[in-house]
Amino acid sequence: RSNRDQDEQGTRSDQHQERTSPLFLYDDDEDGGSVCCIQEGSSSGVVLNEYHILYSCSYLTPVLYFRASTLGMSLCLEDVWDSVHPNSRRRLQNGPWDIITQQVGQSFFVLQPCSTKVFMKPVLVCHYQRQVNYIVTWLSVVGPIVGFDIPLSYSPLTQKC
Amino acid sequence: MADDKDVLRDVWFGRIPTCFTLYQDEITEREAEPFYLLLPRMSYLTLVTDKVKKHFLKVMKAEDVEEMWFDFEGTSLKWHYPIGLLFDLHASNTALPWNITVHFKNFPERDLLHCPSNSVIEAHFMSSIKEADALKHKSQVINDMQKKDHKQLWMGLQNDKFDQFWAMNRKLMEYPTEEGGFRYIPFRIYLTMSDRPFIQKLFRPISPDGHTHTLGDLLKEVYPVAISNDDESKRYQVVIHGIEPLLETPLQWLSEHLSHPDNFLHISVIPAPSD
Repeated sequence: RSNRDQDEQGTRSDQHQERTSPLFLYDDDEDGGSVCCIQEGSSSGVVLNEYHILYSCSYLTPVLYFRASTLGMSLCLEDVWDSVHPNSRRRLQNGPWDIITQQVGQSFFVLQPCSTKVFMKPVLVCHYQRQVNYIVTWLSVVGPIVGFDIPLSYSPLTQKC
Repeated sequence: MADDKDVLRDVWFGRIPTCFTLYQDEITEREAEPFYLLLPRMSYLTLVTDKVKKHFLKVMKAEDVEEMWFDFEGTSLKWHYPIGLLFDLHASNTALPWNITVHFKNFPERDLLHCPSNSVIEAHFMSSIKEADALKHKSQVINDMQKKDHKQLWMGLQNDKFDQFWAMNRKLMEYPTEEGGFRYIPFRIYLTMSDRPFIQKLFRPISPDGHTHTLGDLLKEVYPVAISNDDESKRYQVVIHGIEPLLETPLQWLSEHLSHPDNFLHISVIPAPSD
């Protein structure tokens, strides 16, 4: 699975506030993950994003890990935050989930998973009426927040397990 | 119990005498004197070393100064680990003061996370607390708290205010009487001789048949290597806050009294010193 993603480096936002408090999450049991790499040329203004899906034993939900780099250098939280769509930024500020966090071991950012159960609950309720692909549905919610847009071609999959 | 509250205070006020020396290759305008500081075990390096930075900046030019980072005997010190854990893991059996080298260049991108501000530390701290509560109470207690309560936990840590911190933290240490303990115990076991940063698994404080799990039970289950057989000489030390608790200690008690402010039991397994 690959995706094209070209982000301009853009200007840093000066109104960067406390809301982007990074968190850490490290899970010992990594029940597989799909890696989705976005490859691009080496010209400046291009960002390489890497995504992993892992399972959190503490929260009992999937977790999205990602990292962004440009010209081989990791982007810091501020840069990542700047690339989050303004609409998503506003939503994140008010919760329900707090933050994009930085991950231990290797430098990954992680979307705080503590609200996953909350927004997935209605989906699980539907599951009893028709089959639902949890991961694809979940990813369609959290992915866009970190620049990962699932193509619409995935939508039939949400009806299959 | 009065005794148990004393334990909470002893843990909170634990300090490590530390000597900070500037790395020899840093460019200075004149000789840099070492800087001595008592580091709180329960805090984080980047939260308590402003004085260290100020001290060395006096002898350096601004253009030679990037993000400060530390190493001990060649190992980069992860600021997101509690200070006491770093010491127990890397310097337990060395002489005091703890000798840490200070750097302002060549930040080790692969080993360390950047820490551009205190809000980064706050987020990390709150994230650990949230994860711990997910394990202990399915996040019910932390979610019932308001934002200002969360802030109080952080401010208590940041400003070294035991009472302010524990006024809120005691809620995170409660459990329904009929349960006998938390749902799962938040712990991490750190190993020096391993690629793996730490072991973290789901582990209950009480067995289904009502048996109270001890530290020994935990280790037997998740890292049996740490426990030696009676006839063998002890190869490893299991250290929490600089001490080796008895393996018979109930895990629930350890979780309530020897956790770090982030509500995790950070356990170091280090090679026993060979006499």
